[in-house]
Amino acid sequence: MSESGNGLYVYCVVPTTAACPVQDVPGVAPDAGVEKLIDGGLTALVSRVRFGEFGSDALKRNLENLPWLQRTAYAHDAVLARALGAEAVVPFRMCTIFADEARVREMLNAERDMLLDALARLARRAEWSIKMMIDSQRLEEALRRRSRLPAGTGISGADEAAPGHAFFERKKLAQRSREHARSVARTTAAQIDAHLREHSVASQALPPLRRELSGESGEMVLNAAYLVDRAAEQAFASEARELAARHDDLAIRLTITGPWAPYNFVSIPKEAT
Amino acid sequence: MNEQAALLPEGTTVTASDRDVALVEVLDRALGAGVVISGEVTISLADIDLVELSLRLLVGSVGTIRGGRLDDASPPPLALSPGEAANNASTATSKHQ
Repeated sequence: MSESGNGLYVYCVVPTTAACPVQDVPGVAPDAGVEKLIDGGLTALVSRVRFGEFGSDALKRNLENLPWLQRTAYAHDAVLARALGAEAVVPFRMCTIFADEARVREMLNAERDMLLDALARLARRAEWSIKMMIDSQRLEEALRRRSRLPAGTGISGADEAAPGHAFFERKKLAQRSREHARSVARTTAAQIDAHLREHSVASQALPPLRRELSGESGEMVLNAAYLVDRAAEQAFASEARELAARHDDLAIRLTITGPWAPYNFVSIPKEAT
Repeated sequence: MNEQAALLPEGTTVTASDRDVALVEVLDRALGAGVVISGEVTISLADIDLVELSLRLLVGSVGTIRGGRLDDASPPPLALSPGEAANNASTATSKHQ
């Protein structure tokens, strides 16, 4: 692809009927701003971008440039956050770029049914994110305290008679303690998920973020997105906070973020449960 | 900070920078989810691999600052790996009602 000229970066689609002021949102190309491209009942939020920055070759380079990636991802999300204030929003993957207006209109027409359906499904709903982290060591300690067993219970006395045997007993106990903690963590994650599902319309289990990437200490045992009616957001958030407080003593930590644009709910749920 | 978002009064919309959420969480959504429609330029799964690479570089530098130690060499599946991104973009959603 030629790296000269301009393209249109499409952030998302909102209903044409919805009020969604975008003049004061900078977008991914602050000198160009964010515009609306209206085609029938669908409005695409777009920015004019230079292929020198967003063309396929340039993009490959820029994706490896962390400051650029960070700036662009936050700018993309900020436009979606604004669009979330409209009636409904269908987020597009970051850096979806078309050659010109005609191509965007072509796309809107080709995808009209899917987009209208998604807008209807996502109307007045937002995505909330819950992550559950455990500190395995502290969890094991907390569980031991709870069952009032000191660390290493059951092996004292054996040490002198058969040190080798005691060593294996200790190892076995440590192993059991780890497994117990893991099972408690899994059960707790499932319970939290079940509670939050009751307060949401749909949910999606996401792969846990790796420890190095999440910047969190501890192990992530739950990473889930919930689609929540905006009218029920406060109930959802207070339920989540209550769950977080309830598990505080077990070295379990919940982080709650939201509202997000419904990034993880653009496709139609396959199975009803 | 993250919980503050949940404490905001009803109807308040907060942007990512207000929330001060981790870059990774924004990237996980902006790159790993959302409608995938092929335009003239669309980030491909291979590109997301590049993103993963650059995040590793970032993490590497953070790790150096924090004392140079990263966690185990065989990490669990990546949130931004191509397979997962494809999963996110597909229809693996469960519906509650």
